Amino acid sequence: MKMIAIVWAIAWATTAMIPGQQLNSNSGVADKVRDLEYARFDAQHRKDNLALDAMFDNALVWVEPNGVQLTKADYLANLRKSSINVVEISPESMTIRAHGTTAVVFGIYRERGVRDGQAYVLRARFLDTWAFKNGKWLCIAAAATSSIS
Amino acid sequence: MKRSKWFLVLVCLGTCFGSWPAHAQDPVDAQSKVGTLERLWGEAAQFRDVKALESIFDDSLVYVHIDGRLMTKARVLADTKAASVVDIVVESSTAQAHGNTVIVSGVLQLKGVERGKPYLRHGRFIDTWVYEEGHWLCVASMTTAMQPRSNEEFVSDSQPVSWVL
Repeated sequence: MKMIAIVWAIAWATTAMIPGQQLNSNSGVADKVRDLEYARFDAQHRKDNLALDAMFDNALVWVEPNGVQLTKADYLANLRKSSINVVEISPESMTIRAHGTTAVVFGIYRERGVRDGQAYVLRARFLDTWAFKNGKWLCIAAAATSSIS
Repeated sequence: MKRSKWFLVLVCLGTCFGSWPAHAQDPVDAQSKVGTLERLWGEAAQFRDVKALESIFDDSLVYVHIDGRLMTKARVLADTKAASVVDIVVESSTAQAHGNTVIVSGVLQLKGVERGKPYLRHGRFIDTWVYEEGHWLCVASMTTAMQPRSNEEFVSDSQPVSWVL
């Protein structure tokens, strides 16, 4: 009986600790997701489909600044065949709100490049959602708008 | 006797570890519940029911208006109170559950009158819902303006209309 009580206590303590260690530290989550966001912008700049594929959930919902919605497959295919030369894409500001296994990231990013021989500059507001799934953080939704009031 | 002892140990372990993923919501149930809340949101916005909206939004709500304004929960509620009448129609929406998170995406239509001129706008929205302390709460919402359709009168130089969805 004593042994049962000990095993139960250990199991209870372990289950109570696992989510605490991994997810209850909001600052830890924010740091992790911030790093992932920077890595995401960097991968977009380098057109690194492999890196983006690993960061994006298969059910990702992506909304371009012009309101066009893309799936993960659409987005990666577009990036591969895109004739746009992105010279720079980076966040100007970023705030992260952690909610357990979910993190919401919002801010403003700046993009400049060359499209059809024409230089362009875009400043857009973005809002991304990350979820902790199967032991890692994945981007499940990302939207942007070029209207910034 | 030895066998029953081990059985009890297994039951204890099963109870503990079995309860761990129980926090994750059933996807179909989660999508259905959030779908109901989205409809409630639409109705509350239409009838300017601030109390209902207050219970739907998390206190740390991040809201991006169709005109690009970044708003807090307090600001959204204040805007709703002061809003002029706007018709909001959700043309399409899809919910996708990810454990304790549900993403709802879709297209909405806004009809209203601004400075005496009627307007019609379309926006693509993404809402993020999180299951917290036994409730589904909207923690983030963003609507991106879509290109005006050929039959729409687009008021590009207009001031933002107060609306919530």
